[in-house]
This record gives sequence, structure tokens and C-alpha cells, in this order.
Amino acid sequence: MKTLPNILILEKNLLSDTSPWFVLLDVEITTGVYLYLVNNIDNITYNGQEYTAFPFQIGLDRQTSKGEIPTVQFRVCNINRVLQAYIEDYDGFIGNSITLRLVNSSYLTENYSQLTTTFEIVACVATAEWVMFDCGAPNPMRKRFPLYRYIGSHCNFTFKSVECAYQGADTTCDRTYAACALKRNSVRFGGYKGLVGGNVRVA
Amino acid sequence: MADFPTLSIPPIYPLKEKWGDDDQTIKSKTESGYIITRSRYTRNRKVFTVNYENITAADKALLDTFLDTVNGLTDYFTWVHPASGVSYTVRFDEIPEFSLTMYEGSSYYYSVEFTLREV
Repeated sequence: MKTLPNILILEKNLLSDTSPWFVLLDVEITTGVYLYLVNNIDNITYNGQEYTAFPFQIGLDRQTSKGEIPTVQFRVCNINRVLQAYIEDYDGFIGNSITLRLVNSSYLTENYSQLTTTFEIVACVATAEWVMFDCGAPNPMRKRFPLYRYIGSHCNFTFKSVECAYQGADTTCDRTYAACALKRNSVRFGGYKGLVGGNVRVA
Repeated sequence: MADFPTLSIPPIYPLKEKWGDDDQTIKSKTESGYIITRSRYTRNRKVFTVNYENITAADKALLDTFLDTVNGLTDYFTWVHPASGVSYTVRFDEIPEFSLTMYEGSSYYYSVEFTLREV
């Protein structure tokens, strides 16, 4: 059950409410870079971030009985082609996230974690009027698991990377334990010697 | 941003003014008869309906040129309310339609009505 701050519960239960509720979108263009949009006629600042007034619509959930992951469609205005260049440069943002927040304009400092949902963009279509993002829940099948491969005699780390930390004169490494020992860097060896036994084992 | 041209005569009255768009308020009627309302935006946008009657051909030419400047409904411009003197940033809500209403001597006169919507 969602537990909202009391002030928001009072606000949502009002028969007439003069402070509008806004939908905020954080559209991830590429890793760590976002577009911040609000469906208002003026920009607003939420959590120190300015959200740009921009027309967008949110479609209804699409759920089928065929076992498909439910999707929801976000339609963002494309009349002035602001998004067009971004979606062409970044492959339609496929696999990136859209975070949706519902906030009240009079209580922007309240906790809206219960009214925040993150979707993953699974498809993108652009027309002259709209850019349509089909979004679904993040797909766990796309997550890497287990996080690493555990190999006994082969180092996982890229040579001279942060994990490797080798700072000597050698320029190459075959990533074996023997090579690591020769470089006097075996304390940072990225393999799992305990697994050596002729096989690769996945933990 | 362009300014609405100053014509040789003022608009005729009444000059209609709406406080805002109808969709400024979201309404939902309940089964028990209560109506739940809330604001959609943080700011209302006024709508003005302006009429000019019997403007000269020169004034009409000014308006024609101005329509070219703002490209019809596309661009927004500054319009000054004739009574309050307040400047509003508006755009045409629909393309103004001129009517040739009078011929007197050697001059033609036109009437025009248009709606301006605050941006």
C-alpha cells in the first residue's frame, strides 16, 4: 500500500484543488544524461532540477493475456523536432529509463517516492507530431547475472586498469597468474585461484 | 517578437475577454453529485475577441503585412489592451477573416474579427 505524506493525502482528497498536480518525466538520453520535462505551461524546479514545460501524453497500460510484459506509451511532442536529433544519435533511447513522478505544485519538497515509477524504453517511433516511447518494466532477463565470470587461472581485469593497478614498464599482459607474478602484481590478480581444477566454474 | 500594428481606429466594443481556457480546470462528476475540480496549470491564459469595423484599406494592408510577419497562427506577438494598456504576449487563435463592408466615394472599408490567445 502506498503511504503518502499527510499533507499530500489531504491535498489529493480536496474537492477543489487550486494547486495543480504535475507529471514529471526524467528521460534518460544516454547513461547519466537526462531530459527533464513537465506537462505544464511554465517550467518548474523540483529537487534542484529545472523541468522544462513540454507537451507530452501518457497512454494507458497495455496488458494482454498472452504473457507479454505490460507496456505503457509515452508520447512526447515532436513538432519542433527537439527530440528528433537525440533519438537519432542515441538509437531511440532503447534500453534507457523514463522516470515518471506525480508531484503537487504547492508541495514540491515533499517525499514523492511512492508516486515515482521507472520504466524501461523498449521501442521508439517518431512521427511529424509525436515521439512515442513504448515502455515496460525493466526486464530482469537483460541484466547480467552472475555479475562476473569466475575463472581460476585467468585475470578478469583489464591490464593497467584501476583494478589491475600495475604501474610498471611492461606494456602487455597475457592475464595469467604466472604473468602477474612476473610483474610482481599477483596481489591484484583478478582470477580465482581456488577454482583451478581444469574447469571453468560459475558461482 | 513583433508588435501588433496600431490602426487608425480603435476596436469596437464589447471587446470580449475570457479569464482563461476552459481546460484550465479538470472536472470530475461523482455519482453522489459532487464535482471534484482541480487546476491543470499554474497560470491561466486569457483569451480576447477583438472586432474592428470599417477599417480603411491602409489599415487592412497593415494587418495583412502583420499576418505575413507572424505567419498566421504560428508566431506570437505583443498586443496592448486598449482599455488597460497592459501588454499581453498572444497569438492568433484562428486566421482573421476580413469582410468588405462598405464603399464610400472612392474608398473601401473592411471589418475583421479575430481571437487572441495568451501564450
